Amino acid sequence: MGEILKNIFLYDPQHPLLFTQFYFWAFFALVYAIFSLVKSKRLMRNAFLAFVSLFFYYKTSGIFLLILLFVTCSDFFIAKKIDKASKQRIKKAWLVTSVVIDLFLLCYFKYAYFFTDLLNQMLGLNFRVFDAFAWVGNTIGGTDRFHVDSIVLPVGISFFTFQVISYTADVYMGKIKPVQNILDFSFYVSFFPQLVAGPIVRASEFIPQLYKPFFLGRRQFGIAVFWILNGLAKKIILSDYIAVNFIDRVFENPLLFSGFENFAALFGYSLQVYADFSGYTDIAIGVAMLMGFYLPQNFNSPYKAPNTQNFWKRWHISLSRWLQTYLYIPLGGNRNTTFGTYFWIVLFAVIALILSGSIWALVAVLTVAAVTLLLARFKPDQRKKITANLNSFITMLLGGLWHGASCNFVIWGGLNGVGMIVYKFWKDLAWGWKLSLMLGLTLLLYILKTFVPAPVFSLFFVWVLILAVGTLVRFLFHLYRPDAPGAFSKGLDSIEARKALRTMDRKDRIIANLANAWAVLQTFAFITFTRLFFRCGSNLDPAEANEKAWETAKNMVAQIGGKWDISIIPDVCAAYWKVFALVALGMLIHWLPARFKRRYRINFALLPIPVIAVICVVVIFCLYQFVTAGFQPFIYFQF
Amino acid sequence: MKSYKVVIFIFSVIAMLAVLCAFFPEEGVNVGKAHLGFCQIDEFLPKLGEAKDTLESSETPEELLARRIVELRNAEESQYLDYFTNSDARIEFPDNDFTLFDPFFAALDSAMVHPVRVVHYGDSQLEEDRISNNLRAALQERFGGNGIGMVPLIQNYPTLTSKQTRSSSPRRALIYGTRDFSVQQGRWGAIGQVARVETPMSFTYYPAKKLDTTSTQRYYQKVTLLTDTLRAPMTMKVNGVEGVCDTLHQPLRRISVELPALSEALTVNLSGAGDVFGVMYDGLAGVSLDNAAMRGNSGTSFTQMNAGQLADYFNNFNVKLIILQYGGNATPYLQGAKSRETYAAKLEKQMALLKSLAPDACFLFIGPSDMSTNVNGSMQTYPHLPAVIDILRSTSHKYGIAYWNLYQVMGGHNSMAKWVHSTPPLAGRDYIHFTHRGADRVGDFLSESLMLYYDYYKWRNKSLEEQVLDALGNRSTTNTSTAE
Repeated sequence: MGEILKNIFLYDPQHPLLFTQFYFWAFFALVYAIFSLVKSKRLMRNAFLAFVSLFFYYKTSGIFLLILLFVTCSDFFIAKKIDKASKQRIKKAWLVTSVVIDLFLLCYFKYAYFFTDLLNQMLGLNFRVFDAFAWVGNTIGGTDRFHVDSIVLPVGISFFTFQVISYTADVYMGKIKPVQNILDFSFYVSFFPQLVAGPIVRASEFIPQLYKPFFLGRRQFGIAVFWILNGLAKKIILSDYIAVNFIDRVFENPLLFSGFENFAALFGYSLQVYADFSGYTDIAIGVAMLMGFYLPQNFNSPYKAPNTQNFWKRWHISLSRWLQTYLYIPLGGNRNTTFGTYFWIVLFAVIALILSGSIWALVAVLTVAAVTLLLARFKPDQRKKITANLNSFITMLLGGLWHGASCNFVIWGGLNGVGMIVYKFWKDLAWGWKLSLMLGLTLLLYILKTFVPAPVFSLFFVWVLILAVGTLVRFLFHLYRPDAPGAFSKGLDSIEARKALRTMDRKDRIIANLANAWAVLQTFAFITFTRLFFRCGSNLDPAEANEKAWETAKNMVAQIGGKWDISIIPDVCAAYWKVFALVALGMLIHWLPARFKRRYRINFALLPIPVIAVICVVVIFCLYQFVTAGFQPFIYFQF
Repeated sequence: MKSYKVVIFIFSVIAMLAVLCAFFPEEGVNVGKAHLGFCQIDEFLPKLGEAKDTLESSETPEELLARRIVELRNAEESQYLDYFTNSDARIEFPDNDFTLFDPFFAALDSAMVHPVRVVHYGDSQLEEDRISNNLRAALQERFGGNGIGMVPLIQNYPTLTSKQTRSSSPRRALIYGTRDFSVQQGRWGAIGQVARVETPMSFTYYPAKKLDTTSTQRYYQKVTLLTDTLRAPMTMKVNGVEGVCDTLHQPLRRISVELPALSEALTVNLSGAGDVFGVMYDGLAGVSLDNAAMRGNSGTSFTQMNAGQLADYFNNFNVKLIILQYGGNATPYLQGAKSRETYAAKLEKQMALLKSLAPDACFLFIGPSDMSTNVNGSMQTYPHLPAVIDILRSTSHKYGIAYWNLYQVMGGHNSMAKWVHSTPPLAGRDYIHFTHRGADRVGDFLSESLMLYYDYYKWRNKSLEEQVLDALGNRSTTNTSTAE
């Protein structure tokens, strides 16, 4: 019996409470039963959920619970100080203190290795990380149960530190009043559905919900169940199944697989990473909704984005908005550059130096930045555009770094930043310029590929060639119909697009749809390419993780850009038909019109409750088949 | 909606699932081709008996290997036999004949006089020179030798020890895959690869960046190209030194170059036309080790190879140890006892053939590592893997071949999952291949194990000598005569 209690209540690193495990749902069922008893007493409800959330965090992360409690307390009291302070200067001082504490903890646990590695490489030192917290723990406890020579990343620290920063900043800006009861605040910081993987909830949006009584509409109930089932299906079928049976093995050893398999795996990974992440937040949203809390939407069919700028309004929305409010705008936004702008430019220049091992990288980054800044200074008409791009590029780099402490994530962020800037300039270009640029680029890559036979040039050449052909077609069509509708910058399901489509005749509607499809595919291909740098190994030793991730990217490019053996493609498709069919199905569902999805969601929600219950059972039964489906044996097509 | 209704909803879903669990047949239901299964109630009940299991599992793979190394090093002198018969990580000899490798060890002792070769045949687990390079490094460090051994003429990817750039890529045929042309009379050479050189070409070999400057594998002094009957006279120049063509040997022709000194990077210029089986990059003396990784292969292709060529390679290049590392690719398909017997029968033919072609060589079979499949939703050892290992071991022993149980070395049941999840990971997310770090651990452990048997061999000889000297009543010369 003691064993059972121990299993239930003690932290076990092997068995965290995951949404895809039965134990989480048993836990949730019990929590909900008690919740339904206490829900009408607001304070008791919040205190109960705070307690449950802390328990949940303890089950996932053990002793790191102390860190969560620490930031909860520190920001709770600092926010009160900010509110009470009468002088702006003192308010600011408290804000800075709080941000420094929060970022210190985040940097310490998440980036200690990264920065140690950078320092070592830069100065030729051989520093090791040292877990001061573990040391303190050992000293106080008089034991050596904590390892001082490795720092383990506490689960969800990136999410909850961002949440407390948003709270203190919102209090500072006067958007919200500080929370009076620490239990209420603790509930906001650690609310268990979103604690581990977001969405990042902003104080100004969530705190008011703390004071509202419980309410769950009948339709809302159905929608909540829908999100949960939808998220489970995404996570188990579209993420785990295709990862285990195809994608992981290709990324693990790209050289074992043919160019086509690598290509398929990269595109599959694009879907998988989305399904994994959004599946998890879908479940979080559904679970919170059942308890009457509304979490912000985190993904809005990101691969429907017709351009890279719009992609970031659809992908991990809560993070983009957080970065926009608490990083991009403080950096100066689209108005001016600040100290922060220069600071980050220099830091990233140093990172570039270390990454490439050549002083020229540093010089190049600084030169580009200096030229940009000088342009902004002497061309006042362009200043706004230039500073905005500079600041958003820095935001992208830091956004990349937020995803993981590795240079690959910086590269990934950088690529996204470049994609965004290129799009902003591209959309205002005249068609003649667009075509000449594309043709010029194609020619350049052709020459490169001929004289420097490297797979990366072949890959870019084919890619740019396809884009150039597309541009040519659109250019020619434009000559014939200068007023032809193009893609909608906010996507087909935006209100603007829907309004515009309604006024068009049938022919124009087809043209607009085609233009949009082309734009979507173009963006999807670009985003997929950036995913090469999105995968990373363990966070323990970034030197090794970096090297591995970089090798993987390089090898995949080598395979995709190398010579393809077309004859094996049908065999590959036959062998992996299940995975490929699932990816295709996943993308098709992803691309269904938003209106259609909304309709079936609502239709599901309005079904009689017993029918919904039966559907739940059926879906879980089906998911179980995927969870236990046999592991696909290795088949090699390339030798 | 009232919250108690939600409670009823949640509990009724769970109740329905429980009913489904209770009534769904444990072995599942077949609907057409599809097999449907569902969990059983007892999977959710806490398992009290497993407490011991979790205690054992607190040891990480790295800790396990470290413990094994300590055990291995402690197994000195009188404890040798205890280790050899009891350790999970031992090399298992047929009839517990621990002297089986003596001829190999004797050859190692005189390797600086008569160069010795080892060949490591295997599947993708050895690709990129994994595992082999650790063994090669250990042997060369102890017994002398340089270079990376034989590599195919066309090396499509850099390995952990070398990198190649080349002016052109001739067509090639692999016994285990791509065949740009057909190969007559099984003339696959020594490692199952042929490149058809038709026009002059050049290629350059560099040591991998990771090899430090003290590594023996970084330097080459002798380059030997193995080829077949030539269609046009072939010449080879290495760093400007002209090669010597040896026309005496028929099955495998050699063109070789001895450089005046150890060199790091080699540029090889080839002209003429002929089928090339591979190029050996060796030192002038000591130990060489050839890595022959055959992606996707199960070790059943040797009988398709030209016996004359294999025999020429084994005997005239002084191959004293042949390592066969196979089984992983076949394992997923060997669920039934019948299929396992069929596979073993195929392997028997290979073993019989290789033994007859290389009568002077010692043999070591390395069986499959632990590998996982999806068992009721979690990645676990293929349930039939132990049966596969049993039959591989008994087949090897039948032919006088030693067996090294990589599955046990890793930690046995479900060790692959632990290797995948250890930090840093020792195996990849495919639950089959080792990461570079994992392969290093395996390679180093293999080397240490082999050297333990060598130490035992030395100890036996020493004590034998001592007995003889004792008998002669002349103990004073012991020190000089047994010095290494």
